[in-house]
Amino acid sequence: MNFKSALLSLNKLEAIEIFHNFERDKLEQDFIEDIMVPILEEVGDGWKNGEVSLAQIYICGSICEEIVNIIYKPIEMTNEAKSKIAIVTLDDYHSLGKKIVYSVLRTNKIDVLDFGAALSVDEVIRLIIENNIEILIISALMYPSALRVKEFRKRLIDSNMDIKIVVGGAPFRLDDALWKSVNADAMGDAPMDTVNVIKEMRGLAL
Amino acid sequence: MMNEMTSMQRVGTALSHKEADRVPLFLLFSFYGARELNMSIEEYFQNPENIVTAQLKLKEKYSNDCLYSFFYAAVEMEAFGGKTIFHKEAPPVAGKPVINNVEDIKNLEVPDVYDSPSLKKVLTTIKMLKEQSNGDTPVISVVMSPFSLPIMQMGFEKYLDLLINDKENFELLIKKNEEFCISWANAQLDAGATFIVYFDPMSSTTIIPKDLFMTTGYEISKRIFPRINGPIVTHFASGRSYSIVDEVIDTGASGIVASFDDDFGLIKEKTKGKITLAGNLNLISMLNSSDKEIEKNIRDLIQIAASDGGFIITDAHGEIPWQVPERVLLEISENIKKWGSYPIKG
Repeated sequence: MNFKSALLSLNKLEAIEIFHNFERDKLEQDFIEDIMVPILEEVGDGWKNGEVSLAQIYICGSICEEIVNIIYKPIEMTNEAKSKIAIVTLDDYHSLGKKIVYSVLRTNKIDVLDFGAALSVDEVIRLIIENNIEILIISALMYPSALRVKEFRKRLIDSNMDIKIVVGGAPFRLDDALWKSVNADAMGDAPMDTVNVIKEMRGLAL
Repeated sequence: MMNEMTSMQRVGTALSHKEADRVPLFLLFSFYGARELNMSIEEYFQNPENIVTAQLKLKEKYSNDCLYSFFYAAVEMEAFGGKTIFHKEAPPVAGKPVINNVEDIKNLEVPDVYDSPSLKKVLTTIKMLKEQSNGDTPVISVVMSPFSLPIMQMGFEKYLDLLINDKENFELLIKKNEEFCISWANAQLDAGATFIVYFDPMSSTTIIPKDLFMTTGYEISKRIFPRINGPIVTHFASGRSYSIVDEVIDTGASGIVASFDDDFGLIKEKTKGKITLAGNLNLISMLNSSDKEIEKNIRDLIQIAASDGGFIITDAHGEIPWQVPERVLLEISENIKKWGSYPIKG
């Protein structure tokens, strides 16, 4: 069984075993670059065309994040956090999508702060200021939560705050014009799309 | 063109895989009723009379072929001791999970539906809808599948972890949920529901791979459907189902609601003559559609799926979003009358 098939068959033990076997012979960072990241791209494409399910994406992301955490220490939510990128859901308790995107970002060595789920616009603005955030990823499952992004953008403008907003989740997939109408800067259809958007926003320095 | 049927006749004919006077329309209005009555969503759901008033008004306004007794998914969580959070202009959602660890599964008691104030309100609503419809309109009621209910009971992440890593406690939870689901479905049928919509997004291949569905959602449906005393329509809340249609047919369901992510034509081929197909409106994408776009959407659906009956037009999500303007709903209704009368024009 190879790493991809272990992930897609939800076989965490096998996937971690394959990583440990790789680790013995090569640099563990190469596992991320040469194995995990390309597989996440393929899995993301599979998700978009209906061949891969949400549970498989979740397990893929979760296992890859676990492996990344073996290699890199996870970032913590403190004032000393270096990351200028955060992820959140607005007034929406559904956090699985956020979790998946977080895992895939971490797998791609992008540090991101997890602000949590179901925060109000006020709470998020406070956290953005406290943590000096430049890019905010907003995940939504409910359509009204997606609409909340527009209100959020207005509050940013009123406060003279210029940050990038990247959105994703079911409402944005159902209506592919929605991300523009809520004044987001970009949308990620699959987790790796969000990675590529973030990389583009931050330049090739990432 | 035949004389206009009642909604009950129209739906019954469609479910028999015959052509009625026109294609039936199911606009599944839940919290949207509060918008119709100009009240807050929380206030709306306090009194069954509000739901009944709204359902009858909306049926008349949009030539809807059903009355929908569904409140919100979290009403089942209230029976388990959970709370519901009401937002403005959004569906009510479940509050904190009632299951936080394995001990909670072991200690979980199956609620008696007749002891739950929230569920009793739904039952009262069904009785009133049946009385006031004079038997002319089907009353549709909803249950969450035992396989999908844990998404609210535990939160999605913890539930996936349980499903994948803890077979023993997963099966224990499912067993308890099955007992609840059967009793809740039968209570609603006893109160006057015409058929039950079995909400099972967890089984869709959007959420889990087919091979996992075959040992979970599929087995659960096969176990419990024979114990539910009325017709069942399986609904995946816009999740994909093409690759599991044959299995849904095998469960004995009378109908299946498709996703707009599936090829509707291919699903019609699989369902024709075997199970009624419902779908495939995406009202979120239609929010800002022009009248012409709506007309094309409806015509296309009818061309694909209406011949030989066995087809009902509905929104694939399971409830009409608050933001859908009256104009869109009226256009849908009018175009079904224009293009959906049998025999279907080419």
